[in-house]
Formats: sequence, C-alpha cells, structure tokens
Amino acid sequence: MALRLAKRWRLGSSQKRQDLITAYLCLLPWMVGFLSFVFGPMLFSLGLSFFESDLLTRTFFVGLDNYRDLFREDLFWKSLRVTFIYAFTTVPLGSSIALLIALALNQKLLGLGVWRTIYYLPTVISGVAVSLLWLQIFNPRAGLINNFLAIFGVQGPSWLYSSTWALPSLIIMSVWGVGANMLLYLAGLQGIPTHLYEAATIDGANNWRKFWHVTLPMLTPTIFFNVTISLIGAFQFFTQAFIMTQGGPNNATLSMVLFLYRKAFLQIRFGYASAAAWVLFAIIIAFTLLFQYSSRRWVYYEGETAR
Amino acid sequence: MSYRLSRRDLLRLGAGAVGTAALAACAPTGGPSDSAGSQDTSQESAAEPTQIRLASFDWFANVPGIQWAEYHQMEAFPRYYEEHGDVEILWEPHGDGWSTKVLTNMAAGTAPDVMSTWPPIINTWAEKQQLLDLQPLVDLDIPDADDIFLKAGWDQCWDQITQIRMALVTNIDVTSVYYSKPAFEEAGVAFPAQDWTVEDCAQTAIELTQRDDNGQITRWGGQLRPSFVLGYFYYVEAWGGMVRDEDTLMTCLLGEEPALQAFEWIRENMWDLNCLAQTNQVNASGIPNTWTGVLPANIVAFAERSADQFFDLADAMEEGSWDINHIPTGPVDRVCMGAPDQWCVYKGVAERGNHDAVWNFVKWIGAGEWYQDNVARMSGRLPGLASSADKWPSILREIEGRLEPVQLEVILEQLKSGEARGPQLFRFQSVAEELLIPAMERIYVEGAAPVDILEDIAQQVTEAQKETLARMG
Repeated sequence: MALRLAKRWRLGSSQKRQDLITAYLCLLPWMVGFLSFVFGPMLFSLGLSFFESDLLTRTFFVGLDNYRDLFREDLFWKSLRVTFIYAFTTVPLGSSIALLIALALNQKLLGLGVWRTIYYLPTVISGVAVSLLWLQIFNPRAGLINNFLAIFGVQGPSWLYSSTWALPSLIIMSVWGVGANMLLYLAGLQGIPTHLYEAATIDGANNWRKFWHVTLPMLTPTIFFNVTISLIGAFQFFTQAFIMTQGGPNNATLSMVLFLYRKAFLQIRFGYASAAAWVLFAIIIAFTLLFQYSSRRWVYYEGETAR
Repeated sequence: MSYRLSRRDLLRLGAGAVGTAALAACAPTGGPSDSAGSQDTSQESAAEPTQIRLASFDWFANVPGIQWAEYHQMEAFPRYYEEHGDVEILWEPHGDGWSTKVLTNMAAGTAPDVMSTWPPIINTWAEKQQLLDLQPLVDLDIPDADDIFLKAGWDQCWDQITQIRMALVTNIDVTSVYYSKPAFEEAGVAFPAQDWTVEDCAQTAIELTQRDDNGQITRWGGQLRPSFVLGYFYYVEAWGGMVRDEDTLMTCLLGEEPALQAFEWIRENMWDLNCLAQTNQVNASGIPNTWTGVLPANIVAFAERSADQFFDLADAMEEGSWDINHIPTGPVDRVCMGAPDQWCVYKGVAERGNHDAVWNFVKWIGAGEWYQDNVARMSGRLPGLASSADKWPSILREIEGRLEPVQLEVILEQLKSGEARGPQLFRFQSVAEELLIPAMERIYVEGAAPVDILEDIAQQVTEAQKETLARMG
C-alpha cells in the first residue's frame, strides 16, 4: 500500500499530488477517529483476549486459555443458543413484515405520508423507552396482550416471567422496530422501473407473477442489505434483555453480549470477556461472509450483465 | 474587494489547524496559568483551592422538594468552605450504569476522589485494591469510631478479605414490615405483635388474603422483600442457617437443612398457599415491586420494604392508617437487611496530592454531626452516626407531621438489637449470583422447581468460588 502510494506520488503530476493530499486530508478526521476509537480498541481487545486481566491489579498471559474455558462453559453455550434463536427468528420475521408493510405503503393509499410516518416512528424512539413500554404490554395481569387474549377467554402466559415465553416475548417485541427496514424496501420498490411492470402486463402476468418475477428479483439488493445489517444487529442484541429481563428468568434471555457484559463488568474479567467478544465477532463475520457468498446466486444487480 | 480562497490556501489553513490541534492536545493540562510560566502566575496557582471530586446520586433525597445535588452545592459545600476556604468541591452525578463507569474510570486512573456506593460493589472495588484504607486515618482522627457509629453500618465498612476500612457510612437502609391498618381491621385480624413469629406471619397472611367470587386473589396477605440476596437469604439465618461459611466466605451453605427449610417456608406460602404475593403478581399490578404503593392500592396488606418511602406513604394513606413492625422471628433468630450507603475514597488521591483535603471532607460528611443530621433532614434516610440516628424519628416528624403516629423507632430498635444486619456476601459475589439467581428464579419466579435443587447449586457455587480464587493466583 505504502509502496503503491509512493509510486503514484513519484509518477503523478503536481496537480495529481495536490489532489491526493486533498483527498487524504479530507479522509484524515475519519481515519483518526476510526484508528483511535474503533480499530485501536479492537486490536487491544484482541490482545487482551490472550490475557487473564481485570485491567486494575493483574494482567498475565494465558495464551488460548480464555477461549478454551469459554467453550467449556455451559453458560456460554446457553447464551450462544439464545442469540442464534433470536437472530434466526427475528431477521426473517422482521424482514418479511417490513417487506409486506412496504408493499402496502407503495400503493396509492389515502394519507400515505401519515402511514409511512407512523410505521417509521418507533424506529426513532430510544431502545430503553421501547423496552419500558413493552414491559407494560407484556404485563401478565394488566398488560395489553393478555387483556386482549382474555376477551376470547384465553389466559395469556406469564411472558417475561416464564423461561418458556421470555425469549419469544423479546422476538415479538423486535417486530416493533421494522420501520427502518420498511423504509429501505420502500425506496427499493420505488426504484423499480415501471416499464418492467408494463412489459409483464403485456405478457399477461397477474399480480402474483409480477411480484415474483419482477418485484422480488429487482428488490434482492435491498433484501440483501437489510438482512445483512439486521443479522449483524440481531447477533448483538443487548438492551432489551438488559432492561427487561436481566437475562432471566433462568438465563432464558441471556444474549451473548449480555453474557460478555456480565463477565467484564460484574466479574471484572476483561480478558475472558474480550475472548467472548471475539468469538461473537467471528460468528458475525462468518455468517456475513456466507451470506455475501450466497448472494452471487440470488441477488440481481441491474446493469451487471451489461458490464 | 474580494479574495478568492485557493485550494492551496485551504490546504495551508487545514494543515495549520491540524498542527494547532495537535499541539493543543499534547500540551499539559491545567489551564492557562501553566502555560504562561511567569512567577506571578505560579503564585496564583499556589493559591488555587485544592479540588475534590465528589460523585453521588442525584435521586438520593426522599424529602419532598429536596434535590440532593442542589442541597450539596447550595448549602453543604458553602457550609464546609466556611471552615475550609482552601478547598473546592466538584459535584459529579452518578448517572445510570454508575458502577460500570466508575470501574472504567478506575482502570483509567480517573475515578472521582470520593464516591457514594454500597455493598457488594464496594467490596469488589476493595478486592481490586482501588480504595484508600481509611483505618489509619480513623485511628488518628476518630478514635471512638467503634462507639459513635451504628454497629450494623460501621461493621460493613470493614472488608474481611483485604482487611481495610473501605468507607464511612452515609446512611443505613433497613427492611421492616409495613402494614395497612384498615386491611387488618376489615379482616378482623390483630395487628402484628412486635415479637410475631413466622408462623404468625403465615397465618396472618392467610387470613388477610382476599379472593373474588371466581376464586381469583384480589389482595394478598403479604409480600416478602422482593430480592433473593437482600430478602430471602435473611430467612436462612432466621432458621439458624448460613448463606456461606464465616472464614473463607466461599463455601455455599444454601443446600444445608436450615436453608432448605427456610426456602421451603417461603415457597409454600408463595406458591402453594399464595398468601404471600409472588414477584410477578405484584409486577402485574403495575406497581413496582420495591414500592410501598402496594399498601394504598390494597394489593397486599403488609409488605417488607426499605426505610425510604415514609413521605410517599404519608401522602398516599390516611394519617394513622399504616404502621411499621419488626420482621417475624424465625425458629432460631430474627434477622433482616440493614445495609449502608457509604462514602469511599479512591486510592488515587495519594498521587493527586489532595489526600489530606479529601480525608478532612470525608470525615466531615461521615462523622460530622451537622452533615449527618442533614442526611436525615434532607434525604429522610437514617444516618450512620448514632447521635444523628437517634434524632432521626423526630426530624422526620418535624418535616412531615402525619408521621407522628408511625412507630419509626422500630427501625432504630431493629438496628440496635442486631436484627438488622449486613447481607452474607460471598468472596466472589457476582460469581455466586450467576449460579444462584437463575436457580432462585426457577423456584420463586416460575414456581417450576423444588427448593432442593439448591443442594446441587450450592456445591456448584462453592466450586466456582474455588476456581475463581485459583484463577486469580
């Protein structure tokens, strides 16, 4: 990289050199921020994961022991299971619902702007406020859901106070935040050229076929982006579990991030928590790359064939 | 005349700004007097007051209309400056996640000089050698400390593992039984006697539990303090058991017979008879589990609660319609939580050069009668200094006349008799809780497991304590 830059510097004209300086000066604030507050701490955390350290009194090298101990700890596997269930349920559920809403809001409805605002609104509310709101909604006796079920003579579960229902409760709650995905789908839908639908109509395609053969393929880049971002976010879920259940009952909602938070800040094991963080990072990277790889088979970029 | 800014100019300006910023960032901190370097300025800096950073909770005061932060900055600090004009105290509010933030500050060496805290957080800080040992200073300046502080609070300022005096007491919180007199009168049940037992308690709860025509409970007789460590574990001692051993603090004894009997008593009354409300049943009412609002809302007839909500109760219930009583006596002992809030000092003051100023201030807030009286007057909480604690009931009644018929003295009796005492904490409390809390949740939150699962869990806790100690070398 440095050699390439030096070569470009030598070969370039004075104008080009100035352009290069301008470009790097513009990039400098971001690079300083990234190196100082993201990449630097990441490297530090990677190093720390090979140490037994509380960052206060003792730090000594333990090699891969933290990773070995992590894979031997039942609670780690439990948190991994909880995280996987959450991620692989909320992402398809959230993406599907966001797409359905986007399709509905892409029609010529009365008060379209108002509807779009209403669906997007929950996204701008802070996670803590949303969690407190849902605590009341899931209240077994006075909550909205169980009172609604009671109208039909159904006795609702204890939701957050039951190890069976606590995680499903958080999954249901995740649907609340589909507004951001919905907005991206909406933008994607509006970017589909109308001539494709006209051609499909001339070919005699009904609405379902238009959706299946035009809308969905043209929307795959947006779906790919949404699912990737949602998956990364879902693997890191923390706020809801931290505020609403503290990982309970009986660790039924113990996410991986909550697990590593406990290890770092309650048990003051920063080396061990760093190892857990890097395992989570590896999992996220692995699934993202896998998804990226699979995208070659199903994501359609208009104009790609022309290139 | 116009001047066009060329790209070269822009680059020069940018480079200049970056250079200036870099120089500013590398410059020593301490304000303009440091950079000037003249004799006059150095004399000025010598006269600058010694700064003390104090971190505490904004929400701490329970007295209506009093803001804890405002009281300190407008009244307490100026009062202190009258005698110590060479000091400046900087208030730093403990916000959400304060213990986590303090920990990271400690790792960075930037923790406040004086901090509000409580067990077991303070024990962790002591174990990590982040606190100044106050004992040598206490020996010099407060030689009668063992006599002037309430024992329950003072004892908990000593760390058994590191053998240091971790803090001075701000105030002590005590669990007592709060009861609604109309609930008892309507059911024709006698008010709880001072020496009531756990059998009396269960029987009273049964008699006070009300059901509707469908058999649904509309009011539970009572509720225990909704905390495993600060509530249920005390019943283990009431049955003659121990949470953990006294010497190493690492052997979990919650699987022993007295502990299991105590836990079964709680479980039976909570789940089989349901005369004591379950946590989620109270949560379902929409009233926080720790709040005395359950009494005026008639959700329970009596409840174990903290000593911090007198003014709310006086507002919510008719004068003379509620009172306070002791915790019921178990087969062996009568025991409840008596845990202090504390002022501790960060070890870094030794290098910061304000060690003496910090100690003088901590002594003033911990052992000074004016400040400790004001703990009662401004926060409504029970001071740790015994002489101020004695005045506490009358101070509260001066503030709120409707507290006149309430037996506030019961709380002092609980402290002085040894009924109120500190929680039995493990050497590595968070490691123990990681195993104990899920098990307790299975038993008491879900009602899905018998208490004897604790036999196995107790062994796991002991093993985990040993492993943690071994890992720490």
